[in-house]
Amino acid sequence: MYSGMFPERGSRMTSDARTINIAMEFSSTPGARYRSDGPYSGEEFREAILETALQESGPDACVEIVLDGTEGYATSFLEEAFGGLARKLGCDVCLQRLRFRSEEDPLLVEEIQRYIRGADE
Amino acid sequence: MKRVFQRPRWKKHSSARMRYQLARSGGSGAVYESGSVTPKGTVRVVAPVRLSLIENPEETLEFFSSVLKSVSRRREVFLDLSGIEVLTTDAVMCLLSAIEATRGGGKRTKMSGNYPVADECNRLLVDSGFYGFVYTATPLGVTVNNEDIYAIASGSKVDPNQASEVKAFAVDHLGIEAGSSEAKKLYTSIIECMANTRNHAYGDERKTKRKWWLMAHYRPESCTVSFTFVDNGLGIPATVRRKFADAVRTTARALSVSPRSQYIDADLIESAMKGEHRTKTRLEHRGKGLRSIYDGAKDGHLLRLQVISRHGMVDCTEDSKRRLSGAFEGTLVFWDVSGTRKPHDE
Repeated sequence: MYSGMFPERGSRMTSDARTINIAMEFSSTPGARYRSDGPYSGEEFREAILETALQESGPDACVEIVLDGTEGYATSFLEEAFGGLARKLGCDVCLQRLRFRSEEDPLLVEEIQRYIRGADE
Repeated sequence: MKRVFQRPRWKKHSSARMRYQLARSGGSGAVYESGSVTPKGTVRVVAPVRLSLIENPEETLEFFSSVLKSVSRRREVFLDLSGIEVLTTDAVMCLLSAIEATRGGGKRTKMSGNYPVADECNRLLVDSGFYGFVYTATPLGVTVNNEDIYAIASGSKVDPNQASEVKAFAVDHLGIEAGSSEAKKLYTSIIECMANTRNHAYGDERKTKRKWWLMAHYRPESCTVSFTFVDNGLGIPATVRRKFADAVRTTARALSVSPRSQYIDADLIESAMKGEHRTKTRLEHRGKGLRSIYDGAKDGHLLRLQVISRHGMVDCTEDSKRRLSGAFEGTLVFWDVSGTRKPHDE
């Protein structure tokens, strides 16, 4: 099941779009907000994986994020990873370039999008 | 220079009167309080029959308050646990929190104690791994072999691996699917508690080590797992941002006759749990952790959720709150999760 937003006009969702599987590429046990809080934090994920993937995939290309396979996500992890990115790059850029997939908990996608939109408030 | 036995103090203590007093107290030279083995100068604090913050908060808080008062005065404390007949996991962890208080401030205060006579209570202390945190003359309970108890874990940072282990313990016992949203909520709740301790529980306090304790207990008769999370921080009411309405409420309560009703701590805890933007950072994107746990109780993922901090006790599942006359120094979060496995279906 695809639970992300449909690609908006102008964004490239090509077959070779970069996909990040959090459980496989980062950790199956995500932690809290900051690096100082402990391992596998949202800040660490954003800086080490997410921002790098966005830079490598070009200025307009989309990045797909697979949320399944982890033990669960703390609100602080999600907010810092995606809300933090939106505070840095802007809400519109994040909503345009990030796609989310979650079969285990589709409500997660809505939650993340709320954090991204909330970054502008 | 006068020799020791020529000094007035020596003469006073070797007087006939002193020797008579020593003989009466069964004296062998050392002075003990009558009826106990507590050395003189040590404060003996007797635990209530029901040592449980959840079931008997007032008496239990009075006990812990006496312990901490003696510790703050640098007095040696002897914990008399012999009379306990009912002991719950929250009290075991609060005991550890109180013991941790003796280690703060750079100087240690000596604390000792005895064992509960009731076999069940003593077994809980052993199985919980309590004795692994304290010094015992003979090693007790370091090897935990009760499969229904996830022994006390402790840390100062967010520990995802520990949270994952506790989740696995609950999932195994309750028979719920590891990938289900219910199981994920469990993991999330534990991480939120740890993060809350790390970021908020101690405010700007830098003296005390930011420490938390976590324990899980499976009850086969009801097929539930009870989680207890304790930190010895400043408490939620002391660390949340107070609003103007709180100041008005505090003033109004100060005029009240009953001293207990003066505290607005329970209101502050409830408000923080509901996520009413209480974070001292004042940042809109912060302070969502407690709300996340609260939502778990509201959408039925948690069977029971109780929070005790300072003078407040809030039951989030029943929407009830209680003002406590004694203060709990820190925060205790207690929640139950039920499973699909039938009782005794192993």
